[in-house]
Amino acid sequence: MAAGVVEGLVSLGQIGLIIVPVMIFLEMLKETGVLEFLNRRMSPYTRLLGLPGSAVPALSAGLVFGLTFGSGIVIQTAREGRLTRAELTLLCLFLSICHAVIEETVIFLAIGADGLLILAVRLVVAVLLTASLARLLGVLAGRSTSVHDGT
Amino acid sequence: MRSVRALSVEVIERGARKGLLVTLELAKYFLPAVVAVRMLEAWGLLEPMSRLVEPLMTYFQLPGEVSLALVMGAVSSPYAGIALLAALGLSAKELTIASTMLIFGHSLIIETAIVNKAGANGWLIAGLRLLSGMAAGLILARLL
Repeated sequence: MAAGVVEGLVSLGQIGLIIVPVMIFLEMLKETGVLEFLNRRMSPYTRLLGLPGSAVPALSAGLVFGLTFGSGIVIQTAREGRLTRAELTLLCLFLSICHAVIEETVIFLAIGADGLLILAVRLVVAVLLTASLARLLGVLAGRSTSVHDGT
Repeated sequence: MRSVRALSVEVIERGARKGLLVTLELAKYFLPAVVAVRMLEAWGLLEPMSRLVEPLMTYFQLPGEVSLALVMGAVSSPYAGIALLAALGLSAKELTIASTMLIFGHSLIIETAIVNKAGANGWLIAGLRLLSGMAAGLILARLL
């Protein structure tokens, strides 16, 4: 129990060490207008997943650093009121299946598994599953899933 | 000049404050989940759980011992599962199938807590991860 708390605190420290610089970097991108530009440019692709362009920072952070870091950015994006609950579920579904792709692929290669095949399966399944759930939720909600645009 | 303002103390402070607040917010869900996982391990509940799913391994063309690695991965972390997989002396095909299943369904307790916190439907996501992981395992077992 005590060991779990200590371990959890150490991991949290590591999470903070990544989330804080990423947040500062995002604020800078926002200030210069680069973030808005990226969100607009990427929104045709995120829309395939039923997501607005404002999901781009969370998607990137999750794919590179991992789900915990990505969801830190998800929480912040949600707090700024940029995503609906359905969109949050789609975003977290995608990231739950496909995250920390560099680190995990390297580890699988190291133990002798076909890391690149595993990465391909992850990406394809994550895209298909998220896009399907987006259509399903859109139908259930009786509207198109691509109501959002940019920010 | 916007680019100069971007490097101002004010912008950096705002980013740092947001980062710290989000980390604290995560802590409320992350810490209990980590403790729960360690308790499950300490009480020796992983072995009985793995014996329950062991009969399923033949469908994925995997030896029965792999079930413990998959359960360890699903409950605690992919690294716990990977370490065990590496020690089992599996063929490249078996390693790829088991690793794929592990990568779809790992750290489910901690990640479901976090994803719920983020405002998503974590239970739906955890179910979809397990199902898609098993589907991917079945397909790879046939194809490889």
